[in-house]
Amino acid sequence: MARSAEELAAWAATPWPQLGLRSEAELAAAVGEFRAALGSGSREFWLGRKSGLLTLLNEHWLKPAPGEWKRALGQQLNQLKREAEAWAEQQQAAAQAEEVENRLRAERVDVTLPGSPAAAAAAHPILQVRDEIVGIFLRLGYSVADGPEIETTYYNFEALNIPEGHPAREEQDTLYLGPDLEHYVLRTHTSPVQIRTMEKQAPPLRVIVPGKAYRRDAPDATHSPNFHQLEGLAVDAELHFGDLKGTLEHFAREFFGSRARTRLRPSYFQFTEPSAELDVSCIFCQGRGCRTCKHSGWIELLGCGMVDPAVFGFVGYDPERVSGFAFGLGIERMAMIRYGVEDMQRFYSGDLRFLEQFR
Amino acid sequence: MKVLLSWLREYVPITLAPQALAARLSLAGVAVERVEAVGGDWLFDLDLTSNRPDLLSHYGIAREIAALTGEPLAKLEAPALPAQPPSVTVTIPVTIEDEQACGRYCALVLEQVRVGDSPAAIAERLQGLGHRAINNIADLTNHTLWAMGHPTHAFDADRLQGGEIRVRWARPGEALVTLDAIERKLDPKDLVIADRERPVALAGVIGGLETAISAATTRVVLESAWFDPLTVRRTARRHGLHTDASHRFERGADPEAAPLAARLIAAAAQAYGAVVAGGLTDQVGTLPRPQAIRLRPAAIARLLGRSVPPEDCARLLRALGCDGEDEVWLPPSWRPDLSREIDLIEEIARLYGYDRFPARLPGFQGVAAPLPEAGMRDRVRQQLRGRGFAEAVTVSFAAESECARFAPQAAPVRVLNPLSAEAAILRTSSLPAMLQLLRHNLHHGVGAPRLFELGKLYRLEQGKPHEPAVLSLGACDPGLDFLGLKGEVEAVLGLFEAPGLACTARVPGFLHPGRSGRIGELALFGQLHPELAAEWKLPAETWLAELDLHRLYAAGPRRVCYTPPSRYPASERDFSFVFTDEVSWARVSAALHAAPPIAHLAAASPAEVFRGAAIGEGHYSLLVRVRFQSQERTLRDEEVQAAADAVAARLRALGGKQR
Repeated sequence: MARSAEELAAWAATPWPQLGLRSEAELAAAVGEFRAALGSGSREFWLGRKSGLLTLLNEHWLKPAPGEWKRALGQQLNQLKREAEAWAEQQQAAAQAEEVENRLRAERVDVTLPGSPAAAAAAHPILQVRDEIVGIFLRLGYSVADGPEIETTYYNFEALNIPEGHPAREEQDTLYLGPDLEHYVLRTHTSPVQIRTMEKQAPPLRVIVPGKAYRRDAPDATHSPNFHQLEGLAVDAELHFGDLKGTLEHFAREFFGSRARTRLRPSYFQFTEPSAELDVSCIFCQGRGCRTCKHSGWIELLGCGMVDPAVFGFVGYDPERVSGFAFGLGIERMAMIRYGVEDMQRFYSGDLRFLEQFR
Repeated sequence: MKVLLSWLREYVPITLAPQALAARLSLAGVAVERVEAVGGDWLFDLDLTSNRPDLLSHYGIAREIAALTGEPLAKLEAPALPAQPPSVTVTIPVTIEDEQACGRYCALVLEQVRVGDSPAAIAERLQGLGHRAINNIADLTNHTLWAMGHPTHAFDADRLQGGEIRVRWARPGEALVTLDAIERKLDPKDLVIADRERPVALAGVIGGLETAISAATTRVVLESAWFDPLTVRRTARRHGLHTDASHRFERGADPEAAPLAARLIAAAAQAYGAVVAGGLTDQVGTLPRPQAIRLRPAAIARLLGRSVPPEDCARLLRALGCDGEDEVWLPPSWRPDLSREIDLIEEIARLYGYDRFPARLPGFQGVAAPLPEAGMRDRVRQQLRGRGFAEAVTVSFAAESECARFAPQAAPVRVLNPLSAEAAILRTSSLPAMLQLLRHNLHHGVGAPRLFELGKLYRLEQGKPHEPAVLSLGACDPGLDFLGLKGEVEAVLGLFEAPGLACTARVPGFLHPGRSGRIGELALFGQLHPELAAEWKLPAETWLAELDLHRLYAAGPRRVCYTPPSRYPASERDFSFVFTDEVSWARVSAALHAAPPIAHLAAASPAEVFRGAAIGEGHYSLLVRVRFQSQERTLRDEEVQAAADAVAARLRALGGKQR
């Protein structure tokens, strides 16, 4: 029958002479009883400096023990002390571990709850598309230029080979300014910056011009009187129609992915000749035909062409020595195709329910 | 323009299926928008470019098809006018006042005309194209127009006074009731067809009502003329008219087609029993004459990237009606767009097929430079997006009355032909647009919108347009207050090498006078005036800012000036003082940093501002937290104490009472 804590304490405090131990075996058995009790009680109960069991045993058993018992008793008690210390250390570690575990349990959260909204907001989809296209052409060696939106009729029309009274001028649905700005219009395209760039720079040159342009179009799902264009111009000693094709093919694959195919369809612009529209294989149906591409398999992307020699005449380039190509695309259109946006007006609404989707 | 497949087949054999034909035409620059089956026939809807007046008829499209497929094109010929018995030989005298404006005028007289319905074949064709049949004579002119492209006009000869035609400029005060029953006051720059007395038609645009063919008409004067494109264009525009005739003359009609059209109509009218009374009057003035063009094979290869066999070039050019061989070609009269070598190269390229010219990605030597401000611009965008402001894009138009409240001094750029009063000027302030965006979001249940826009303002300075770049911020966010907004503004300014300008409370009337600030010319920000907020149906706490990016870009990005952090500990001391309201933080800060410098003063900041009854009206309590630190050593207590005494002395000198 194991002794209780009180009994152990009382026994440890029993002076040696009263113990009546007669042999080493009896001594070992007595200490063994203490050893058997390890695992209960506290560190203080066993190892406390004033009244711990081991202190008591030292005080009452070892100190008064006669010389011939001291060696064996000392060894036994030392052994017991080491074991008590080891037990106490283990005990403490276990208690600490439990405490940590309890704290972690208390701090537990439901990880399936939604995260707190991060402050970061979205870049505007039109400007994301603009920046992406600018990046594509920067990598092809195109510098970026800009010019005024309130443009002279000379740069917007005359120097682009659109003389006064030409039907092409009226097709532009120009917004005129005035009454004191007779020779100015809201630029109907970013093309005037072609002229401004060539006036300042000698060939070879490569330049793109992202910017706002204006037409007198009532706002609806596919029109805005104020929209964004990106113009490109390359002039060099030996640029030809194949270079225009190759450049735009590369652009279409960069923007729409490597599976995009392109084709050029003849068209007409006053400041390019030959002129073309660039079509890209429909990104929604891979060219099989769907509603977006009106079952043609192709989506009309942009206008382009070889720079008309007449335009070179306006900037003092010799069309016998240099040639070049130009292209102009609507950034809204590119964004609508890229994201499947069905109504152009959404871009200008500032509606966060719309804008936040482009993060 | 619409064409019928059956009609095209009169001029050229077509073996391609309708859809395939449409694709072939589109890939040669004759854009087919739609093909639809209509009553056993196929209707093609074409979107033609303004440089190709020659395509504005069935024959023109047939010619294009012939060039593309190599099939033979039928010749378009009119039988010679039959010899008439002398008794009925009648011609009509024609005089032309300006031979530049009217380059050719053909006229003939039809007698014994019986006006009635057209034969079914003609009426059905016109209806198939979506046009109304009118009467056999009018339908004949229209039918010829759609067949071969040349506009003609039929007058009731008995209503022409004096029995003559005068092509002349309108006279001041003249008017004409046109076929659409509108009386039009004529301009001296309007070219008119007149009889001896008065105008009877606007040349090349529309006829007069009074001389129009009616059921009672028995004698007809048929006009087939060529008018100067610009003259027709200006008159059509002046009178707000756009007719099938003006559409063609404006783009450049074929001067050689005028007599042919007249003969074709005369021949057809004879089938109705009309008698061609006499010959064709053909007055020729100044006409554009096609010039021979030199076409160098080397130029083709240089521009297109590969050569095209000369025999292919010749075949294609001949199919278009060009005359010549090898390097010299004369374009046909119906192609005013062909005058230069490049024009012929384009024709060859598009008919040969754009897909036959190999693509190449050209190399380049040089430097690709972004816009000088692009880096700064994108830093601003990133900064604001990171702070939860969404990027907006708006249109540049504004209502003048709105902008006037936000930028009363700015002279606006006005649009002469605006789409609406709300878009009558280009904006002189970015803030009305921002308020609209905020309101849109609030009305759609977006709780606390924060938005920014990098845009432009547009204004006149000394009569010249200017387009400075601006940044606008807007927020209706309970998480934002004046100091929060100021922090956002300062964070943007901090991206630039901007002078450290003081913030003042001198703000315009549209802002809350006590919760708004201005930092030099660089930034204006604060709470929208509550009255204006109520007017805009916006919350009272609506926050706005406008920053002058033009100036900030000019200042350049902030240059980093590095100082190593001190290795020695800092000492912080707090000073609690009561000041009158006049003593702003700016004054406190200036006093602490004034010369001579307080030894070891590293920083001073307002740790707490308190106003309340306990402090007293017109006063406030300020807790100033000051940090002392040395780059060379740990400061001794007595050194810190001496510096703290100096701080307290300066705060007392401002009239502050230590608490």
